[in-house]
Amino acid sequence: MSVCVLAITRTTAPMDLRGAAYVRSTLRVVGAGALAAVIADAPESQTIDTLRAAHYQVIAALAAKSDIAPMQFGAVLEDDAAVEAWLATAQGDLSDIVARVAGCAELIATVTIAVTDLDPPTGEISGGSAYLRAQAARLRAEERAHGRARERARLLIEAVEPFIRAHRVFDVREASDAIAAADAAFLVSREQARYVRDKLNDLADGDVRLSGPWPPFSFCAPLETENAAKALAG
Amino acid sequence: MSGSAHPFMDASGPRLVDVVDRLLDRGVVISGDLRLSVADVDLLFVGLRVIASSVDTIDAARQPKSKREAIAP
Repeated sequence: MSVCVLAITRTTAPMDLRGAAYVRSTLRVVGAGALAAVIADAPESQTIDTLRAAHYQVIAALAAKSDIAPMQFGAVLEDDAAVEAWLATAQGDLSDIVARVAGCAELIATVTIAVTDLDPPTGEISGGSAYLRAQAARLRAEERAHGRARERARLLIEAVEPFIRAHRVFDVREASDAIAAADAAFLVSREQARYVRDKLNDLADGDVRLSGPWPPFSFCAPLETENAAKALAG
Repeated sequence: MSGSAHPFMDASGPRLVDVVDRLLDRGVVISGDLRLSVADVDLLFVGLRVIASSVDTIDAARQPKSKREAIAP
């Protein structure tokens, strides 16, 4: 039976799993050294949407009661022994991640920019080459819009930098191709989350959507050295 | 810790679901060889750092690198 890995924590962290389940699979903890993983048997006959929703619900419930590092959706290992072996092998990196996000939540500011300034067509206006030129112009316009979204995200980061532990910027896809977007993710102490959100709210205009606090998903991969050092220093 | 004083967001609502979908692709990644399965049906074996986070991601992982780069956002 494969097992889904849902979260990583310290073995010393309080962990109350009573009544919690991943779809219909009971949660359990396996440990190795100073780390523990919250896992569940991989459920049978479920849609991806159901599993993704369950993954988030379990992590949000765990994060509300304890310090955890959330796993990316789809982390599946062969059995409990494989989880223990992975924890033991990756102990150093995982300990850094757990330390980085301890006591923290994440806020997200999604910046959206309309894709405009399409390059005017040149040369022939019909046929395959014209289509390809139009596509290329579209891609250049999207990249320019993404660049503006990233720049706006960085301005938001600068405005709240003294109050956050770390930050990251991601290009993201919107439902419409006419919109380019970037997520600015802010790692903040739980105590500061409301304050930082209020500050961001003051800065946000119609092109910025704020959400959170979320479990700190965006800070569970290696950060830039400088950023990570700041996060670890708290 | 006083986690209950800081409830995490309910992921309902169309906009919030979009954010959660993106967040679920950003957590801790398992490195090394692992087996990917959905609903207990093995999909593929992968090495290194590739992991399934959605059907789209699985499709992308199956494509040659050059093609993935061509379609990457």
